[in-house]
Amino acid sequence: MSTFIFPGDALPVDPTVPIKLGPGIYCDPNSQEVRPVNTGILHVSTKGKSGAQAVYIDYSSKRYVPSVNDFVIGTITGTFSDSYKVLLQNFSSSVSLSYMAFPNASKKNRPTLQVGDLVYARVCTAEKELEAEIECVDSATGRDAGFGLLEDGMIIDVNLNFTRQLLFNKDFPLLKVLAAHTKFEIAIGLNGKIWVKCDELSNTLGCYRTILECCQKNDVATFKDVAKRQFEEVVSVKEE
Amino acid sequence: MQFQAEVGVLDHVDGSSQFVSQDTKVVCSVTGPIEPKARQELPTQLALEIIIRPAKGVATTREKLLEDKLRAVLTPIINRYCYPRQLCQITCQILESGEDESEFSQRELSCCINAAFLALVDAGIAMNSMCASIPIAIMKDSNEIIDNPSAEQLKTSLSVHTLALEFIDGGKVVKNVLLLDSNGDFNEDQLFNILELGEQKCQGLVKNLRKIIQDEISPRLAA
Repeated sequence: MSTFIFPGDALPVDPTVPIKLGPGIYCDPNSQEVRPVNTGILHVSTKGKSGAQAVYIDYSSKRYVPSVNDFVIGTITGTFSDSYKVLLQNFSSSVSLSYMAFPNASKKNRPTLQVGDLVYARVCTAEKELEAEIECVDSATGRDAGFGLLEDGMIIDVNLNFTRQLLFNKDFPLLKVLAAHTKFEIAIGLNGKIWVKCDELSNTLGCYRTILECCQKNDVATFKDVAKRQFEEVVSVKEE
Repeated sequence: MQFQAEVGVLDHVDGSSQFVSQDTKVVCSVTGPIEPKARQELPTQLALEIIIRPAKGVATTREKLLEDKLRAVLTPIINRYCYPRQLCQITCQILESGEDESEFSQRELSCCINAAFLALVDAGIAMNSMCASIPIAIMKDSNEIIDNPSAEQLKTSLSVHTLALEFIDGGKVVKNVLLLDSNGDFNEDQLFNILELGEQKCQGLVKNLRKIIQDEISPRLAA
C-alpha cells in the first residue's frame, strides 16, 4: 500500500496497532502526535515479526543526513591524534572515522590514509545532536567487510533516492546494463555518491556519463539506450 | 489558475522553486541542513539564514523587513528540532517585482513565502505543515475586497494586506494564521472579511501547490 503524502497530513494507519517510525515520520514530544514531516510516497508495512506497523516516507532529496548502517563514501579532510575528519558532502557537517575502526587496528598499527583520500565506510553512530561516526570494519566481527580506501576511479554526485534504488533494489537494471559494456568496480554511497573504476579510463568515463544521464532521466526503460549511446560517444572521441 | 510554479529549477542547490503570479516572479533556493558558522549555530535546533534579493539594486532595509516577515512564517512550519546545530540557507531572488517597489511589498512577500515553501519541500527539509500566502486589497471607492490585486489595483486601494495560513490534514484544516500584515485604513469587520476570503483563496492555492509538487516529485521516486 502506498500513497503520496504531504507534511502535516493525517497518517492513514490503524491507531490501535503500535507504530514504528521510519524516515519522514515524526512524533511530537509534547503532544505525542505522529505526523509525516516530508513529502513523498508513504509506505506502511505490517510484515514485521513484532506485529507493529512500520511506517516511512520515500522522499526525494539531495542533502544527506547520516543514519546508522548506511554505506557512505567520504573524503578525508583532516587528521587528528586518534581519528580522521571525513566530509560526506560539500558544506555538510563532517563526521569522524576513528583509527581503531579499521581491520587489524591496534595502537601501534595506524591506518595510512591521507587528506584528500576517498573512503568507503559504514555509519556506526548517528545521534542528531552529536557528530556522526563511521567505520571501515564490520564492528560485529572485527573483520574486513569490503570498506576502506577507494583508489583512482571517479566520483559521481547523484540524488539520494537514486543511490538507494541502486543499492537496495535488486531489480534495478543499471548495473547489468553497465556490465554489458565493460568490466568495472563500483561503490555506492547512500550520501549521493557513486564511485566507479574500470581498467581503461575511457570506460570509466562511459560509466560516469551513463550513470549521470540515467539519474537525470530516471526512466528505467531508457537505461540500455543511454549506455549504448554514451559508450559509443566515448569510443568515437577516443578514435579522433 | 492565477499562478505558475515550478520546483527543482536549479541544479547546484538542495532545493529550488520558481513562483510566478501575474507580473511578480520569484526564484528561491534552499541549501541545508549544512554546517553553520559558529555564531549561527543553535544548540537544539536548525538555524535559518534567510536572504531576499530585490529585482533591481542592492538589498536595503525594505528587503531586511521582508526577510523578517518571511522568517516569522517559515520558523513555525519547519520542524527545526529534527536538525540541531545545523543551518539552512533560504535565498529568494525577486526577478520581477510586479508592483511599485517604493510603496508596496505585498505581492513580493506572498510570492517569496510560496516559493520558499516549495523549495523547502523540494529540499526534503522536515516540516510540520503546509503553508500558502496571498496578497489582498480593499479598494478605495467600492470598498470591495479583492485577492491577488494587480499593481494598478494596489495603487487605488485603501488598505493592503498579506495573509499566510498554515494547513494540516490534507490542506483542508487551517491550523494557524502565520502572518497577517496590514497597511492602510480598515476596520474590524473588514479584517474579518479579509480572513474569510483569504481562507478560501489560500485553500485553493494549497490544493494547486499539492498537485504541482506531486506531479514533480512522484516521477522522481518511481522505479
